[in-house]
Amino acid sequence: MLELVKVTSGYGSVAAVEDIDITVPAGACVCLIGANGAGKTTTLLTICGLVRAFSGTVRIEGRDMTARPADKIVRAGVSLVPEGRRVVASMSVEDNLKVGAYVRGGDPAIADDMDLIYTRFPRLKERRFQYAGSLSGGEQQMLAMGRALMARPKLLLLDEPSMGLAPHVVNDIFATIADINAKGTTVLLVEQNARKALSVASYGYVMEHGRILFADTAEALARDPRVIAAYLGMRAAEAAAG
Amino acid sequence: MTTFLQQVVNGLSLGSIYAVFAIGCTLIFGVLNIVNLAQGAFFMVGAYLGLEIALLGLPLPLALVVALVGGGILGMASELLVFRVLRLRGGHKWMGLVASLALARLLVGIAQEVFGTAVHGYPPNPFTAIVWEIGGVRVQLLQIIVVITAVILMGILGFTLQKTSVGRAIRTVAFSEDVARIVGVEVGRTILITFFIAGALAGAAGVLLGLLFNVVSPFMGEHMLVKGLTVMILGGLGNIPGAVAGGFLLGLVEVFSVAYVSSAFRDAIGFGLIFLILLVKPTGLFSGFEERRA
Repeated sequence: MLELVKVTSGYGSVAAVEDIDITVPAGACVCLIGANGAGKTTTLLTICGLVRAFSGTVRIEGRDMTARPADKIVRAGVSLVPEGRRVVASMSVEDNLKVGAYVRGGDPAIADDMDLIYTRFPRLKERRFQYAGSLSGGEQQMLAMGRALMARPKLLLLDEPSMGLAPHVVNDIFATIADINAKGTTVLLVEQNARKALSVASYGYVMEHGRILFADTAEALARDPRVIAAYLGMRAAEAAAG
Repeated sequence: MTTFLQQVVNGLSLGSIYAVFAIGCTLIFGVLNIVNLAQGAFFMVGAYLGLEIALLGLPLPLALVVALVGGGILGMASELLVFRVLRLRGGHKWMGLVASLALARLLVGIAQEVFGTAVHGYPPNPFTAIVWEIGGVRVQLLQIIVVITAVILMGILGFTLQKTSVGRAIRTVAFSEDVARIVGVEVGRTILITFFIAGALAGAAGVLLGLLFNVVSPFMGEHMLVKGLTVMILGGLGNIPGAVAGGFLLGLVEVFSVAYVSSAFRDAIGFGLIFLILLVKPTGLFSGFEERRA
C-alpha cells in the first residue's frame, strides 16, 4: 500500500528524517514509535506532501507519489489525522465532516458515510451543529478521525491520536483505530504512547534522531529490552541491569 | 422626525454599498491575512464598466453582471500577478501592500487616459425618476433597488460560504492552509476563487455607488478604499457579519453627520466615532461573536 525508500526530508535545508525505509502492506496496522523529535511527524507529513522529500521515493499502491501536491495524495487514497487534531474550530461539526469529503465532489454516498460516522461516534451526532472549537479534546479527536474517514481513504495516517487525552478516552480511540483497521482500512500510526501503539499494531518501526533504528512485529517489539527501556516506561538503568 | 427618517433611508442605501465593498476586503483578509489595496481600483473599474454598458443602452442588470465579472477577473489578476508571486518568493506580507497600491495606481492611470479626469454620470434611467414621498420622506426606487441588490449579493455570498463545497474550502483555507491541504483542498485555486469573489463584490459596489450618486470618476476608488478598510476594522478583521454591520453603521453615521452637523465634518465625525468604538472594543464590533466561534 505504502512504501518509503531511502527517504530524506526536512525543513529548509535541515533534514529531520534521513534515509528511512518503511513498508506498510495493504490491510496492515503499522506503528512508528519514538521519542519527541525523532522525526515521526515529519515522516507522515512527507507522505502527505506537506513536507518535501529531499531524496528518496514515496510509493502509494506502487505509484511514485514523491513530492506530489497534498491534494493529489488525498485523491490517491491517503488521509491524515494530524497531530493536535486541527479541526476547523470556526466551522460546525457537520461542516468539518463535509469538508473531509471535499475530494469526493458531489458523490451521493457522502450522506450515507456521514451517517456511518455518526453511528461510530454518537457524540458527534449530538453536537453536529456546534462549532468544532467547542468540543472536548476527545470529541475533537473523533471529529478529526471522522473527517479523515469521510475521504474514504485506503490508508489512514494517525499522528499522536492519544495526545492530551484522558486514559479512558485513549482506550476508546484505540479501540476505534483497531476497528477501522479491521474493516479494511490500512493504518500507519505514529505514537509516543508505545504501549498503546503496539497493542493495536501488527508491526512497528522504532525511530530516533531522524532514522529508523530497527523494526519488528509488534509482539517482538513489546518484549524487546531496548523498546522496554526507552519507550515502555521503565528506566533505562533498570532495563540494562535486569 | 422627517429628517431623521430621511437620513435612515439615505444611510441604509449608502451603507449597503459600503457593506458589499467591505465584505470583499475582509474576505481576503480572513483567508490570507493581507490587505489588497487594489480593491478600490476594482470598484472604480466596475463603475466604469457598468457605465459603458449603460451608455450603450443596454439594461442595467447587464451592467451589474459585467462589473461583477470584470471586477472578479481583476481580482484574480491581482492574485496571480502580485500576491501569488510574492508568496512563492517568500516576500514579506507588507510588500503586498506596496505592490497592490502600485496596481491600484496603474488602473487609476489607465482610467484617466481612457475616460479622462472629468466626472461622468450614468444616463437617465427609470429608477431615479420614480420617487415616492411617504410622510415627507423621499424614497427613490433606485435606493430600494440598490439595497435589494446589495442584500441579494450578500445573501449569495453567505450561501456560497456556508452551504457549498467551495465555501467550506474557503473557510478551511482561512483557518489553516495546511489543514485545507490534508483534506485535499487545492489551496491555490481556492485562494484564486476568493480573489474573484472579492473583486466581483468591489466591481458590483462600483456600479451601485455610480448609480446612486450618479458620479463616476477615476479617483472614486480611493475614497471607497479608505471606507472599506475602516469598515473592515470596525467589523473585526476577517469577520463578514461584522463588515455588513459596520458598512451600514458607517453609512448611517455619515449621512446623519451631514444632516445634523455639516458636510465638512462628515469624515471627521464618521472616523472619529469609529475610533471611539474601537477604543471601547479594540477587536471590532463582533469580537464576542468571533471568540465564540474560535
